[in-house]
Amino acid sequence: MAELEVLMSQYQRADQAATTALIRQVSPLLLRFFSSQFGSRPDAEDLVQDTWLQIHRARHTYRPGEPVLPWIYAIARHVRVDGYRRTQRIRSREQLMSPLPEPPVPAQPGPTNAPDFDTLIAVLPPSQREVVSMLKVSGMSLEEVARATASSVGSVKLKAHRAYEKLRGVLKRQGLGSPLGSGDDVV
Amino acid sequence: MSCKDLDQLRTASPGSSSAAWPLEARQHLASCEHCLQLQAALDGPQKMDFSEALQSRIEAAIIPDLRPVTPVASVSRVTVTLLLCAIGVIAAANWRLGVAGWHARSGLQAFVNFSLLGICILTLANVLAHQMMPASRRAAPMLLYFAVPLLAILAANLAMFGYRWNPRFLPVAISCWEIGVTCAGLSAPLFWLVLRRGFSLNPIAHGGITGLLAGLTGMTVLEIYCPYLDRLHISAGHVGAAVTAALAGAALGGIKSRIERRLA
Repeated sequence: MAELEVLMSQYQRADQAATTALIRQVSPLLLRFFSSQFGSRPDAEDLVQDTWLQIHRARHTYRPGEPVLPWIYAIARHVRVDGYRRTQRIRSREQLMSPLPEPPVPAQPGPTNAPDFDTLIAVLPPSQREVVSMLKVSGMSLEEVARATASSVGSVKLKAHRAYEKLRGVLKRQGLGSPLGSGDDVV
Repeated sequence: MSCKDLDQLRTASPGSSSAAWPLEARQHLASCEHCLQLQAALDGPQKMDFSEALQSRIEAAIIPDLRPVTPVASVSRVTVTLLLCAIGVIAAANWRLGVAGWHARSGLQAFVNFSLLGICILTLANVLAHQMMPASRRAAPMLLYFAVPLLAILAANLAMFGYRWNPRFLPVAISCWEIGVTCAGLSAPLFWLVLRRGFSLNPIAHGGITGLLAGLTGMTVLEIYCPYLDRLHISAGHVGAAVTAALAGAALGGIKSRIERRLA
């Protein structure tokens, strides 16, 4: 991850190649983060773009030497909240003219019979989903997730532990091989 | 090893894949289908396909505006600058108002009073310096940074000073409150100048803490100036000024956040 810190410092110095590389490395993580929160790919792509605009405006607030991913995720969370508010505002004012498109079909289980990551964590409450997504998708440490979510390491640990317990419980109840996706199973 | 032990292991070492786990954990994984299924999902490839079109869109929005930027100053530098601003306001105000309060206090009272105020101002300045950068390290929830300094100062005030009847209690308290709020109002723009380059994720809390820092600066002016050592007077007139400044800061933060949201 030290590479990201170097790229970020170069981005602050207006290095075009480093900026492109940083976007290329971080955007898939952000896309996965937003997809796991919203479920819709176009919404997630819009939020990734909004996050980059916000990162660009706030790039001077990154202090070289500090971990980059918590800084990026803290901004992404901020954008997500704003995006959610905006979506709610628009939805409350618009009239439905045509039927909604079919929801995306969850990915099929892989050869290990394991469910897709997004489908699996969709049953979790948003705060636990966010923590698992940061830990497992971005490979952030507990301390980094705590920084990004403005909470304590203990709280992150608790959320992660509860999430794993819940996921295991859901898998047990659903039985092997059957599709997931119903939040009703969550205790 | 049980499923719960495995959950604990996953939580304690989030970055490590199951291949790096101890033998016991791997044996359990091999024998428990649910744990294996969960681990396969968590260990699986989790990066998403990222389209070139989106990459180009982001680059098109950012690259033309690419200019070198100077990162925000280090935490220690910002903290020292905030302290210097506070000291400057205190010195200028007490130069004008006088130091009767300093002389009226005993050595112990002055030591406890000004040490406590100094520690609170230093802590708040340090917190604000950290918070200029999103996701910076934070030792405690934001609410504690409001509550602890005010409660500590109130407790010290109640412990050190007695009650003295004064028929002009209200006008004197209001006069001190006005001086405190004015000094807070003079120091707040200086603090804003120092902190304006930061990116606030929680404008209400940051506004409140900046207001409290300004309020404590105003309160220090009052403690040096005011010789009326009555616990009720200090709680209402001096601490009241700090509380007012904190509330005003939080309100301004809230207004700023609302305006930004409307403009977005």
